[in-house]
Amino acid sequence: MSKYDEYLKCKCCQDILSSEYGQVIKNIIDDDETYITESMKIDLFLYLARHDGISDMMQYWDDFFDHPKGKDLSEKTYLLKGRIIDNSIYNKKLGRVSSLTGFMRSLKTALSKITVPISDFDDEAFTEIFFIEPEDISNTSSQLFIDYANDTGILNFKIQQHPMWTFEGLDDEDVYKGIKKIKDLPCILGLPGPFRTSSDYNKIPRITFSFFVPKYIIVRKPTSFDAGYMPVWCGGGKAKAHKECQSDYTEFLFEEYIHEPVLYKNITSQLIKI
Amino acid sequence: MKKEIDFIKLIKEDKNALVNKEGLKPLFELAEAIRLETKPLTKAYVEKSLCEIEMRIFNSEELSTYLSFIYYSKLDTDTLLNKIIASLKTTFLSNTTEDSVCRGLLVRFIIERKPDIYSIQSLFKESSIREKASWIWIDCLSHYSFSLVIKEITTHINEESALKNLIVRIPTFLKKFGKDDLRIAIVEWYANIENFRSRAILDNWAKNLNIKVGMSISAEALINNVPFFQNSLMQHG
Repeated sequence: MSKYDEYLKCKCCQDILSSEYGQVIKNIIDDDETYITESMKIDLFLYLARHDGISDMMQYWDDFFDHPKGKDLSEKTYLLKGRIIDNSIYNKKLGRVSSLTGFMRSLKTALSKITVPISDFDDEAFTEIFFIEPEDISNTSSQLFIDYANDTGILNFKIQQHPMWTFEGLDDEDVYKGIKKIKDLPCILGLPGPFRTSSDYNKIPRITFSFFVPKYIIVRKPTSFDAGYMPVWCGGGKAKAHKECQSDYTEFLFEEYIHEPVLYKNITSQLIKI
Repeated sequence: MKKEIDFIKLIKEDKNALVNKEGLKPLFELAEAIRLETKPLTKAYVEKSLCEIEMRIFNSEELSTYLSFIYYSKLDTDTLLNKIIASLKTTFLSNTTEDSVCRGLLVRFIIERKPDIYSIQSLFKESSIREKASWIWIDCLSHYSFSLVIKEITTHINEESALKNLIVRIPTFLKKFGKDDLRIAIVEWYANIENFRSRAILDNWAKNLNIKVGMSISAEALINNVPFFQNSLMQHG
C-alpha cells in the first residue's frame, strides 16, 4: 500500500507493474521525497495515465523527463535533482562506462561541427588505434586520444549530450585499482542491456575511461527520475551488481553519481575496451 | 513488434526525429537491439520500412543519421543498397552544396560496401561531390587508390580545416593502407604544408604513430634522390 495507489490504477501503470519494468514504479514510490517530491511523482503518474496504449513506452517516459524539450540539462524539470555531493569529489578521478556506439556517435557529432565526419564504416579503424585492452593500460599513452581531440578541435566539446552516469573507484587516483577484472565493470555496476533491463547487458560492446569533473559541474546522486524507464537501477546511492558477479564482488561496491557531461579534455586515461 | 512499428513511424513522421541529438538515444538503442537480434523482428520488415522512410526528402544531417541507423542495425542488405544505387539517378542531382553532400554520403555508403559495383570512373564523373564535398569524395576515392588520395589531399592541404579533416582520417588511412604507405603520404603532405604550426601537428602525429618525418626523412630522401622530398628539405632548412 502506498499513498500513490489511486494514481496507479490506470491501465498503463498496471501494465508496467506487472511487467519486467515494474521496478521503475517501485523505485519512484520509494525515492526520497526531499529530492523527488510528491508533486513530481504525481506529475509522472498522471502523465502515465494519459498514455494512449499504443505508442512506445520507453519513448513516452523519455519524453516526460526531457521536459521542457530543447532546453539545457540545467533547465530540465525532472532531471539532475538528487543530493549534491560535496567538493571533495573534485579531487578524485571518476570512472565512466559508455557503450562503444554511444561514445562513437557523440564523438562523430562533435567532429561534425568542425570537420567532414568519417563514415561509421571507419569506426573499426578508430577503435584499433584508440581503444586498448585492459592489460595494456600500463604500456600505452593516455595522450594519444587527447592529441586527436586537440588537433581535430573537439577538446572543449561535451563528450555526450545527456546526463552522465559515473562511478567512484576504490582509489581516488586510480579508478580501476582493486578491480579484479576491468571487463567485469558492466556486471559490477549493474549496467542495463539494450532495452534497459538486465537481459543481454553483457552483449553491448562498451568502453571505460577515467576523468576529472571540472568544478563548475555539480555532481549529484542519481534519483529514480534520472534512472527513468530502467528497472536495473535501484536507490541507495551505490550501483547494484548483477547476480553473476556478486560472488566476486560486494553487491553494492561503487558509489554512483550523475552530472552534466564533462568535456573531452577532462579525460585522464586511455579508452579501455571492456 | 508494436514498438518497432511506432519507432519507424516516428522516424517517418517526426521531422525532428533524425536531427534532435538528445532524441537519437532511443533510436540507437533500437539499432543496438536489432543488431544484437534481441528483438523479434525480421530484417525484411525493417528493410521495407526503411525503404518507405527513404521516400522522404532528406537533408544531409537527417541522411547521415539514417545511414548510421542502418549501419548500426546491420541492415545494409543488398536490397537496400540496390535501392540506394537506383535513387542516385533521380535524387540529389543539383549542384548545390547540400545536394552534393547528400549525394556524396550515398555514394560513400555504396562504395564502402561494394566498391566493385561502383567504378572509379563513375566516381570521377561525380564532379559536384568532388568540388563541393571534397573530403567525402576523398573517402570514396580511398577505396580505390591511395596514391590518388595522396595527390587529392595535397591539392587541398592548405585550405582552412584541411588538417583537421586529415587528422580525423588518419586512423582510417593507417588501417587501410598500413604504416609504410601512410609514411609516404605524410612526407608528401608535410612537404606541401605552408603553415608552420600545421606542419608541427602533422609531425607530432607521425611521432605518435612511430613514423619518421622531418629532417630525418628529408635526409633519407636526399640520399635516395627523390625529387619531391627536396621541397621538404628546403622548407626545413
